[in-house]
Amino acid sequence: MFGRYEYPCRFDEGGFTFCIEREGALYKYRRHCGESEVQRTLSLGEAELFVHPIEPVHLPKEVTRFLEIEFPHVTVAPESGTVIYLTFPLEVGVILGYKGEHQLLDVFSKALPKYSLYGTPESGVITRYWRSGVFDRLPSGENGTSGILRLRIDNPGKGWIEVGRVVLDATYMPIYFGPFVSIAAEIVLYSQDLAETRVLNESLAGGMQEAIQVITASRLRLLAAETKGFLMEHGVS
Amino acid sequence: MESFFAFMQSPVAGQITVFDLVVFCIIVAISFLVAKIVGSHLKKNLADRVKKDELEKIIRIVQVIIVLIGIFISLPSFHVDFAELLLIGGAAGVIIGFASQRLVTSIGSGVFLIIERPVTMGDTVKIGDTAGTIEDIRILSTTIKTFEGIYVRIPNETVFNSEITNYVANVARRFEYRVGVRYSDDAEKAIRVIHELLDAHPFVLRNPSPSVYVDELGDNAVIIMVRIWAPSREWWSVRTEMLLKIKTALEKEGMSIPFPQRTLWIKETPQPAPAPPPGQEGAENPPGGQ
Repeated sequence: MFGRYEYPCRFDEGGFTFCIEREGALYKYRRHCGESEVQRTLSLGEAELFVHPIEPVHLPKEVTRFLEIEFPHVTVAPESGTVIYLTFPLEVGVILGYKGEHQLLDVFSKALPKYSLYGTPESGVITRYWRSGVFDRLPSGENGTSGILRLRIDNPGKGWIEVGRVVLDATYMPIYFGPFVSIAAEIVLYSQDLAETRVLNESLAGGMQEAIQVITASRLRLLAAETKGFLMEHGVS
Repeated sequence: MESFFAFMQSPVAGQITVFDLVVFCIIVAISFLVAKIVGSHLKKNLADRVKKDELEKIIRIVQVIIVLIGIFISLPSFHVDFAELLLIGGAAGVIIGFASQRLVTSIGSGVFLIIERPVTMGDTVKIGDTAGTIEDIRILSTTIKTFEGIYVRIPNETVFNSEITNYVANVARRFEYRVGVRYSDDAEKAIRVIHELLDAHPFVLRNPSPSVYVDELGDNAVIIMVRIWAPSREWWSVRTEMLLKIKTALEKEGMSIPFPQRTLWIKETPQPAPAPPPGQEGAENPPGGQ
């Protein structure tokens, strides 16, 4: 499903339907997914058309840039680390591109959007919420609803820590697609109440392609998200 | 031509000639033009990357600096002695300061508002008796667009001394409904139906989770309290949407919102015997009796 499309085109698979048809000098974009439908009139010029997985914080409208994944608790031994696999909600973006400038035309998803508050109303953040299972290896099966997140957990401290949630900043969120859709991230646990998360620019398998990042930010903000990540000050369980 | 040069060299005030005045005006006009062009370029290039209110401030600061530089460059054409200028400026400052105390208070308040930032542009607020969205925060005043779309300018001094309610300062807020169902309806089922609706709505926050419970056994209905947390910027749309959905869902399940009602019990008492027609009273019951 993901990749670059020549238009006019039509795609119909797994509950997603979209098409771009010529109507005189213009094009008509039509999309159907579940109960939602979209129709747009386009003047495309020499634009390219991409269908890529995008940062899962756009539906039903962008109210936050944070993705929170809650999962069954994992107890991590002191001075140790592990890798777990989680799922994350998949959002599909139809993107127009011209000379490196990208414009998001449409977003759709089979995953029901749900939002949450991480922390307190005064100092917390609104997050896109997702409940995942925990897997010790790549979960099989591409269902069109979720992608796979590889989470490296590191507990450099002297105490046991129970971790049951991770909050990631989607300002910098490289997503890869191929046989499945993936994100790689790490969480460094400092205590039960404090941890640092960072999204990594890594694919989970060979031959995967990096998706277009549609969230734009200032270079400073992007650099901060890339290097510092997100500080989880309100607990990890 | 000679007369033109002569005119240009003619003094206007003291040593200042028409030519000096023209040079001053041209340099200041160019600085304004450059400030405008730079402002428009900054707006185009930074619009996607910087928050709107911060961008406005950056643009204003840059424009003021450019204009000040222009004035500074053009001052030599007026043969200005800077020591004199400072002296005059200082004295004028004291006089103006006394004459415009309220203005200075407003400026001071504006500076404190910008530093303290109890409100920012785009926030939904109530300042004193005025509620609406902050459109602009300037050094002298704050402008609000009320919910009716009316422009209100409030001096910063008033803003600073007023009670400020910022509805979106916290990222999430709570609101509630009181939903009544009949005593004959299954309240547990009603709670379950409402919970299902809340779970399905994206902006009804998962944490803090919504609470739905029987709050009161009222005169006419069982009152179910529904408390919902939503993102502050979305709470109004959630509030307006969910109440209708709850009503529709409950009615679909055969439950209805009862009207206020009162049951009247009318006690039947034995009717007294009808009074005899006039004239027959004596026959039936003669005076004195037997």
